Amino acid sequence: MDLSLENIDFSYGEESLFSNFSFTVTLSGVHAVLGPSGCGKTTLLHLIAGLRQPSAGEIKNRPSVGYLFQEPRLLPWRTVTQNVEIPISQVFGENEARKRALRFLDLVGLSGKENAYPEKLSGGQRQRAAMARAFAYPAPLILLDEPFQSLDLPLRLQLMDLFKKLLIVEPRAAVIVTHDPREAIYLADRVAVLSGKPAQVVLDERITLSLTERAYSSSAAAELEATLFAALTPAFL
Amino acid sequence: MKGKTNSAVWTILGILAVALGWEFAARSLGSELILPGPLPVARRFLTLLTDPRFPPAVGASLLRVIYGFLLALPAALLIGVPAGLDARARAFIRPLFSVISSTPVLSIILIALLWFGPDRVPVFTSFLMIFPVLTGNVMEGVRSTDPRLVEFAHAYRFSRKDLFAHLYLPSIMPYLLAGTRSSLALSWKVVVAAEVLSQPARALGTGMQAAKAQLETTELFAWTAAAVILAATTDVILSIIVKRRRAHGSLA
Repeated sequence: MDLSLENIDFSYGEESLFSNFSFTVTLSGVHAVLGPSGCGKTTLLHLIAGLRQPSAGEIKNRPSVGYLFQEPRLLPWRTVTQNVEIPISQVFGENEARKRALRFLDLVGLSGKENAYPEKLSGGQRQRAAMARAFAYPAPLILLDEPFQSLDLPLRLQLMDLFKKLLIVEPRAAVIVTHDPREAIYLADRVAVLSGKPAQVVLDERITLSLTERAYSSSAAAELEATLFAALTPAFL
Repeated sequence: MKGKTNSAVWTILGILAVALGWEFAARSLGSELILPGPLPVARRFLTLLTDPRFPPAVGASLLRVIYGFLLALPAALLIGVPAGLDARARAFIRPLFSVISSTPVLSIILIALLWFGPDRVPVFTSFLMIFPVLTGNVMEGVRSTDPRLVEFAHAYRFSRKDLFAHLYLPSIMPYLLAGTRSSLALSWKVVVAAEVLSQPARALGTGMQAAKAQLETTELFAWTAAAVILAATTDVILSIIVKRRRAHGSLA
């Protein structure tokens, strides 16, 4: 069953972010939502996660979600393993949760850091731990709120590749919001471009490029980037 | 390390200055009945240690301080957590707290004397005095919880129990420890005051009152020294706990 937002209204005070907004997400593949800052991308994820309720309209077939925020948001007083384990301990038994946490920490390359506290990790390692937490959580959908934005390009590419690897090992659907067309092309199977206030979908495309064509140096990706940028530009002005 | 030694030297100098000032005042007055000097008080304190009344008095007063705290802590969590989360709950408890914190301690002791036996008056009074302090700290701790972590916990559908155990309690912890320190300091003063008036069989306050009744000023000072030393010891122990927790980087 597809997740669908139907005729949603949502506003902050006087400012209307969504008005009669509809959007459907099939629970497979990676969906990128591209839009300028402040157009309501984060709010869209909040609505999907149930962190905010629309003032009108309906959200159908809302699944439970794993969530990757802009910052890692680890509990500073718990070890890396506990950080992954705590959210899933409500679903799995204690032993099972511990085993699963360790397996995902291994998958993101944090073996050896299991008992470290977040403050002892680098920024990239913390985001890896957050990724382990999001994937270990047994949900059919993962929401990503520009989790790679604050990192430098090499680290960003590393973590985006890790994300793609995890999607192969532990397949599930994902919605990623970003303001970077390149990131959308690199990661997504579908990209929807939002214009701002109230948000409207101005472009909704499937990305059919092969893995190599998506690379940051590829000309095919550059062509698609130009199309996406053209759709984004009016929203920036 | 050097800074540490340096500040220790200044602390010792500070203690010496107080003792010298005290000695000077005692000599100028020239009456042990009004103000005994530090040396006679120290000597009397040492003999007090072997007095059969002393160990049970210390134990009983310490227990009263602990009981008052153990009653106030769960009550503070029970009231402070909802009050920290919800402005309406804060507004609701405000009048009660204003009344408690502006009532003179002696009124509370006198009223408690009408209600309870001598053993319970100090516990009740100390409970009532430290409960608002601890609750205020719990409330601050809850309000200081990082809203981004709260959002994370809601996204991952934390149960109420997990929210409390893994998010709010660790956020409250530093505030609670600070509150515990100030509560216990306050509690020693209140417990001893209540003991002076309620006269339980075994108590520091009872010893003070007996010394005062017999005009044994030096002994009164010695009992007071005992109360000061006990309060200071509790404070030092707590400050060590606080430092250890900080050093470990984990607050819960």
